[in-house]
Amino acid sequence: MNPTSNHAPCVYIVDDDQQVRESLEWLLESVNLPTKLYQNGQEFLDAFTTGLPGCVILDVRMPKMNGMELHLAIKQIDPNFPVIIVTGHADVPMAIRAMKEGAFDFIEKPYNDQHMLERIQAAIHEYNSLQQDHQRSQELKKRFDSLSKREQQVLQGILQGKPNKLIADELFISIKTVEVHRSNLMSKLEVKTVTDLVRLAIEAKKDDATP
Amino acid sequence: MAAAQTVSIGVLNQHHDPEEDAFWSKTAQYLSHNIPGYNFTIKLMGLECLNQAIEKQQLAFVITNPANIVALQKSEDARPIATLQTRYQTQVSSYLGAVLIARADRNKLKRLSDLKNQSVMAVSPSEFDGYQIIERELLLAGLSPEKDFFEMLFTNGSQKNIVKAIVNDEADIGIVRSGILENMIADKEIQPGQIKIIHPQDTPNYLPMHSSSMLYPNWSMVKLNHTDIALARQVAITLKSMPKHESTLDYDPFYGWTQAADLTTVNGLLQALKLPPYAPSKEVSLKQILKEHESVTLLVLTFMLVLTFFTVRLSRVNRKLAASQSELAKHRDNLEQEVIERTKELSSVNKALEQDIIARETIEETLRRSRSALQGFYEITVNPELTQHEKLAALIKLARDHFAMDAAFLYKIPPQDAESTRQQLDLCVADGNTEMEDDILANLPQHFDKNESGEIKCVKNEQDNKCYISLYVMVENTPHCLLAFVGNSKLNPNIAQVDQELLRLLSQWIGSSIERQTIEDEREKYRSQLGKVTRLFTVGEIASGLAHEINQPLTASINYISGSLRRLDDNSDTTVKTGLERSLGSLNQASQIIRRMRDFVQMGIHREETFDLVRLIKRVLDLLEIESGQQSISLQSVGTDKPVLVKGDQVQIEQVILNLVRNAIEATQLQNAKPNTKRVVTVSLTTIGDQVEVSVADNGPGIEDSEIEHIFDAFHSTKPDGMGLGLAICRSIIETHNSRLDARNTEQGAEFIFRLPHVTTQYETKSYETSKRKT
Repeated sequence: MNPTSNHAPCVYIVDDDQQVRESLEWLLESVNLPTKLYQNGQEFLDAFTTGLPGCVILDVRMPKMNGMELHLAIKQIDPNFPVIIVTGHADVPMAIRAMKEGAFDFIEKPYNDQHMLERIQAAIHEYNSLQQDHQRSQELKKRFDSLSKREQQVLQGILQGKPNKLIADELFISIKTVEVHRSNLMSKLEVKTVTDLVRLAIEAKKDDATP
Repeated sequence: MAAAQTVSIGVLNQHHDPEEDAFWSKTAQYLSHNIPGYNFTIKLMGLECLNQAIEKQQLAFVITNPANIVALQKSEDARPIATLQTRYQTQVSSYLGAVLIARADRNKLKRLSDLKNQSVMAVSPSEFDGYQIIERELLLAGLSPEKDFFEMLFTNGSQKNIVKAIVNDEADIGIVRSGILENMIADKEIQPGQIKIIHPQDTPNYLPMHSSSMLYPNWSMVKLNHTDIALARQVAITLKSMPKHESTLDYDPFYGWTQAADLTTVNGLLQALKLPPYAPSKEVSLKQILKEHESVTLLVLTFMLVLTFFTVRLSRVNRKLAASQSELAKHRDNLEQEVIERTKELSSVNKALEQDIIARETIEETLRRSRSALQGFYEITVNPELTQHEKLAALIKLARDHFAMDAAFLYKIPPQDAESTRQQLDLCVADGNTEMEDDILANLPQHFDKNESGEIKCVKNEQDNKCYISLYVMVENTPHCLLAFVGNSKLNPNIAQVDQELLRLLSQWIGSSIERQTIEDEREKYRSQLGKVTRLFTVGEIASGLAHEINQPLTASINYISGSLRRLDDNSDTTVKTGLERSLGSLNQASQIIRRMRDFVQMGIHREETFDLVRLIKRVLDLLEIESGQQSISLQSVGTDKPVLVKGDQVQIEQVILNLVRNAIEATQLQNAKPNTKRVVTVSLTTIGDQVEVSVADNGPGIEDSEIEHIFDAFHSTKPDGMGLGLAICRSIIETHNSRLDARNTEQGAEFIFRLPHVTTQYETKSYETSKRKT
């Protein structure tokens, strides 16, 4: 049902320092988190595909493209993908800037393993739920889009609480026809009761406003 | 006192007369004495000479006869300012006339008509009072001197000689100026009864003497066109007040000066006689004569031939005598006059020469002295063994010796000079008799006025008999120091031009050496400030670099141990678990220590301000100019012709550019640098969008590929004695500015680039907006 749940989340580690890179892998493997290692930003950007669960951990200080720049590049591709920035020489302005630019967290080296693992889990979870919301709203949109024009007009009437007779009068069609449309759109939207229909419509409307 | 201006008075002089000359020079003396600032001189001249001198504007005034005056009125716009007076017995007159005289025993000669066929004698046809006046009377009476006289003789001698010639019966009729007879009678040269007057006129009110003619104004002094009007007016007034000549004789032809007389009658005369300025042009007159008198001329010519034949024999002896006599008189007159003129000229030239020699000697002496002073000045300033202060002292001593002063002082004027007075002066240098400082303080200017700063003041104090010289030393157009000398008052208060120059030179030298010192001091201050900043950054970077370097393995260890701990299950050996936990604790402690150390040594406070990047770059290049100049490396800047405003920490950015340029200079000096190329370091600015890109490029060997990854790492250096912090510091600074520092190789060498936010000034924004609104 949910495509993301078919994939295990993956933690991408971008750091030019090999020992830091590999030790973090060692830590994450101990809690059964799969990892992928990259020694610079470009290497990661080349391999990165959006939509898969996980998060990325970046070092700030790297040659050619530094962590702050890589962060912006990732946000360009997928604004929701969680980025945890790690640095050995943090200062407050840099941290503020990173958070403003949408980083999931800004962690100073050396870090507490528990804290790091919790933040990684949180990032993966948030991205998952974001992805799920996104997919649900995509699906709802698809369902509503499958209605014919007449069915949508009938749906509007139902949502406004009008009886079938009134809808039939307004649309210059017979009550019988309205009833047919009504049952068709219910089955298309996979709802059984009018209550479910209204809840679904509200949910779809909320998602429409958010994108 | 200024030299008197010489004013020349030209006097028409056709015959030399000592009495006359005495009167002219008396007049000149009187004028010179009464009109200050002018020296009047008399120039005696013949008519030709006089006209030439007038034409060349050599004369300011002219004393001449009325006919000449009328001519000058037309040609030179001359204006009479005073007329000569004569006195006969008690009566004074400013008129003159002419008399026709004959021996008293010539009974038949009474009227003008009686003159026909007589032999007539006059001085010269050009003489106004000796001939022209009578010529007009003759014309009025219908007589023509050429046609009607037996002969017309011109002696060119003195008029008195004509009277004598008449007495001796050498001619029948004589023409002389009125007054001559009276004069000769007074001088007992002739007897009163010997001579009679033909055609006498009765004009006792105007002319007391005998006259056979109408009266005309006497000789006058005229001013010429170019003569100063004020001076002319002064001369006219002075002449009138000139005391009259005192003489016991009945007749005095040079009695004094009076108001200028009217010349209308003279005009009539000149018109009648067709004399200048009324003379018809010669060409026309010849033609006219030929046309009008063709037949008559022929007749006259033949008649004249016959007549001459007879006359020549009769008058030959007479003529020869008269001619030789007049010739002699003429020669004598000319000779005398020439001798007088020459003597005058020679004495004046002599005088001028003497003055010239004295003046030249003084100038030479001054020049010699200042040349030696300047020589000394130069030697002191270029002497490499003296310090700046020793040079200053030596120069002041030199100037003091040069002016023969007793003491010299150099004071520093306090900077708040608006209210400063002499009490607040700081003594910098004292030379000579330093006890005289009280004197100098008492005589210095009370307040320091910026406006009179360039002047040299020389004050002579009569009370203590001392002389004070003071002048300001200017630094950036404000008085900075006061240089003062004191000494005996032998010195001439008018300091010679060359000596003034010497003083100014000294003051300029002091000024420029002070300026140089100030610049040196400022540069030293700036250098030490930069040094301080550099040290601060170095310490910070050491801490930061160390932290980073240790943090990396520390992080790795913590990761490994944490990972290992999580891999241990409950069945594992608890001692291993405890050991790992303790080591994790120790590692965390180590990381805490490092964090505290880094927090303690902060990078310095980051201050955001807007500043001109161009000025900063120029300052850095200026500072490094000396280093690079010694190595013959050229420092260039591109895109720095107008200010570029950026936002950031000025001190930190300066540190970065200084480091980068210094690195670039060192890179061009490396062993493997390209040979035979001019070594250049270029700092360029480019505006890209809302950012300014700063590039520091060199044409050295570039960065090796293996190095380029680590070039910014702390403690990483390619230099044998390098700490490996310079570029690390630069990177840290640029990172705190939310930018990055990049290094890359170019075709020429290496290039370091970073960007800063560009600030457009309000003015620029405004003008941009208005232009947008217009379009």
